[in-house]
Amino acid sequence: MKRFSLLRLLPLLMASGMLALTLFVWPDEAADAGLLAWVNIALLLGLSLLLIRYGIRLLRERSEPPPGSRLRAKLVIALVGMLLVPSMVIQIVASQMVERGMDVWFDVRVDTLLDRALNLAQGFYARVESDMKRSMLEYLSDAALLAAVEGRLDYRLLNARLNDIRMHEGWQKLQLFDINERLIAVSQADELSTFQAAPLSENARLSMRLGRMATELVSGKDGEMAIGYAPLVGATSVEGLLRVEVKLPPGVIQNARSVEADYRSYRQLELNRQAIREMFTHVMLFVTLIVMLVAGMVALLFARRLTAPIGDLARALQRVTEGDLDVVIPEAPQDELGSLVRSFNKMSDRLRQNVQAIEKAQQQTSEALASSRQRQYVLEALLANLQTGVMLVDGEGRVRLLNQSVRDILHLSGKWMPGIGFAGACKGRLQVFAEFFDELRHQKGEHLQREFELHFKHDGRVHVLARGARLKAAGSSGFSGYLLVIDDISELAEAQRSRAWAEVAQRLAHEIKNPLTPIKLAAERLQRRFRGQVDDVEVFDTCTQAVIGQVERLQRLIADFSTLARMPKPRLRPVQTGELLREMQELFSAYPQVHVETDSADMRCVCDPDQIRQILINLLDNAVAATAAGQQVRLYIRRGGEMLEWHVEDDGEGIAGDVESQVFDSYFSTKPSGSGLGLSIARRIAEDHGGVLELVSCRRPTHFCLRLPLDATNMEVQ
Amino acid sequence: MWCFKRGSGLWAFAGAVWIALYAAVGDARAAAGFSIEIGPQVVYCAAQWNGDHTSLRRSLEAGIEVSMVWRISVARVRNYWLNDEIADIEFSRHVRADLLARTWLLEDSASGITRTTSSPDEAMAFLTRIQHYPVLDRALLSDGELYVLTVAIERQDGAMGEAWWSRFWKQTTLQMQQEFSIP
Repeated sequence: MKRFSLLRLLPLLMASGMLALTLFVWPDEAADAGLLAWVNIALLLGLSLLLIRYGIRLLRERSEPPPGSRLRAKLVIALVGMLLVPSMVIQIVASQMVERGMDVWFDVRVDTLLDRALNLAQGFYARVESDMKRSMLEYLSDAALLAAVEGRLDYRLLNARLNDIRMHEGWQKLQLFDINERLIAVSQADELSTFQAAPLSENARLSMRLGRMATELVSGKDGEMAIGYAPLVGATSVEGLLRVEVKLPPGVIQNARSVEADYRSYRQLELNRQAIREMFTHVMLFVTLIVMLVAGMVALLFARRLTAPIGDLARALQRVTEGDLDVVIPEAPQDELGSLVRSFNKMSDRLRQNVQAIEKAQQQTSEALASSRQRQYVLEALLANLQTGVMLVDGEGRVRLLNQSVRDILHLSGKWMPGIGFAGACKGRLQVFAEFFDELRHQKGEHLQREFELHFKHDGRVHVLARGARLKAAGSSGFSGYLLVIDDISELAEAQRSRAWAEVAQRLAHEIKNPLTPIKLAAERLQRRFRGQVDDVEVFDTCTQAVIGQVERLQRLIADFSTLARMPKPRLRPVQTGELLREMQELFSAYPQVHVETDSADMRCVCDPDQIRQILINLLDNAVAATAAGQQVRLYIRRGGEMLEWHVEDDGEGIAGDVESQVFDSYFSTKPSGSGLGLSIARRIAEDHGGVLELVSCRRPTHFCLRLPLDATNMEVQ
Repeated sequence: MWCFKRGSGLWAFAGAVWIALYAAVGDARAAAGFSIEIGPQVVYCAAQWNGDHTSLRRSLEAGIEVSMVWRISVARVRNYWLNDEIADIEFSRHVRADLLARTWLLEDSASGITRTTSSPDEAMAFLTRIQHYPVLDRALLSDGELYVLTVAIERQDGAMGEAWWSRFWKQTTLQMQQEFSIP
């Protein structure tokens, strides 16, 4: 869920406040609102809409805002707030002061005072009017004046009468009009009278028409005058009009008019009291809003100018974080931010150089590593394909390297891994290698060579040649230790032994074979010639027969020796196994205990049939000789993969365990008359065929298996 | 306010200003008695200011000078374009009080006639009502055309010719319109 921070909600909160303020200052429908009020409303609504729009955009904004925008917003809010708070305080204080001031200005005592002053002024005027009317009341039916307007009075008498009245009443001017508004007589103080009178006013005509006295105030160049109109009433109707002018005292008039003007101004202000208050509020609000607007714009410009390098820096850092080290901030003002930007550019440049150096070193290391690995692969492949066992032991006696051949030759177990202690791991039949290694470490020479004969359960004896060499630290590797090379020289030793025996056989055959025939012939001649002459024929026969028999045995022995010495190469040809089996069955038909499975699958075998026949006869002879009555000898064939297996089993006493490993050795025989060459020759024949002759089990049954390859493509078929 | 970089922000601000000013103008369209009389030669109109009479009477009785500026205009109605103005008349009626004499001087700028009255009701009637007032010659209008007659009445308290900026905090204009056509 997205977390709404106060900064995100601040524009909406400010907008809410402005909308509340808008409702608060919204003009009353009944009142006459000035244009300024609506301008303020417009400003408030406009600012509120802007803030709402910005607030909604902030709330809907899901991605990270552009770098520097938050700082810019905070600066703008801070600057506007710094101006807004004092402005609001000033506005509140000023409003309170105006409110208090207006209460003082429009105090009820002032109101009463002005009312009384105006009443005084009005009373003065009323007094003047009432005095005029009361005075004029005496002359409404004045006989002289009526006679004058009727044309019955002499002008001089009339003039004297008017002067008397004017002087008696203290009026400044007195005019007499007839019913036709013609001026009849004038009496005027301090100046000559004129008969060119101004037309009567509406009030004068109204007074004459209605027969009612009237007064009015007239302002002239000499000041203000009170003018009174008194209709002259005759017997039946109004006959004329008396117009009276009284000049008002200038000082009193001036004060009265001042009172009137002040009263008017005061009332005008009082009527506009609410309007003045509202006007003041709106003006202050307008000024505040304008200040906020201007401050906001200035703050925005200032913040944008201030945060632009920070934003560039943040964007550049983002690019550096993403791996782009080619970023350079172009503009750098001459201030702390500019210094920061320049430092960043230097850092970026140095970082780029370092990365390039690292990449170059990495490339060189990779190439060296590849070369090293290649050499290692070559070495490992060489060691893996090497038939010779190789083992590397460090100076502390721990195995560092060993190949598969050494495992195969020495039948090493799975615990033989790099890191194992060599001396400790060499136990049992391998103890000789521990001694060999110890001798190598402590000898003075650099090389050591020994031959060992090891006995393994399945492979029998293995003749190995061990060679050791001390390795000195050289080159960059700094490795010092011992190199052990193990070779299986069993075949080589066997071949050397066979070759030695062959030479012995040849010499024996050559030296012994030649005298045997004359000895045998001489013994037979003695037997034939002197048999009748001897006393004890039986003894004679026994002796001669013994000589002949031993000579024959020696001849057979010499023949075997000759065979072993001159073993011919097998002449391979396809042979049906069934044919060979039937031959064996016929050959050993005299021995009922021999069972040949001729019904086995008749397979085709590539071999030299004479030599194979020789092997089979040898094995069957040995088996027949080892069995007693009731015991069986079995000959059968099986197919085992690509090999053809000839199995010969017997239920005889078998081979003793201590001679098990020697049955295929030359001149080893358990029979008194045996040459000990039969199985040796048979194994050699098998090997010449690319097969093997094995002793599967020593007793019950005594089981020999001859394995010959079915495919003889690599053999020379004749 | 940092949205000013966006054009839409300015449009929103302008919209708010327009709404407020529309409200201000709409407040001036108060109902008022208004009728048009089409004579054989002249088109007359009768109108009455239906503002705050209590306030007006208080101003008159307090001796404050009050003026009513009447603006009468006739325009031919045009669709999809501004109306074509045919006549535009402006006159004022002014009442000046004499508190000492308790009289009111009535002045009509159109006729130049002045007279004095001691009745505030008469002064109020003089200010707030016109009857059978000739607006324009009928010959200027065409038969069948649609016209609109607009009467705007502006009340001004105090002496005439005050500073122009005084209107920024006082807007007392009432306006009424009526369409008519020559039968």
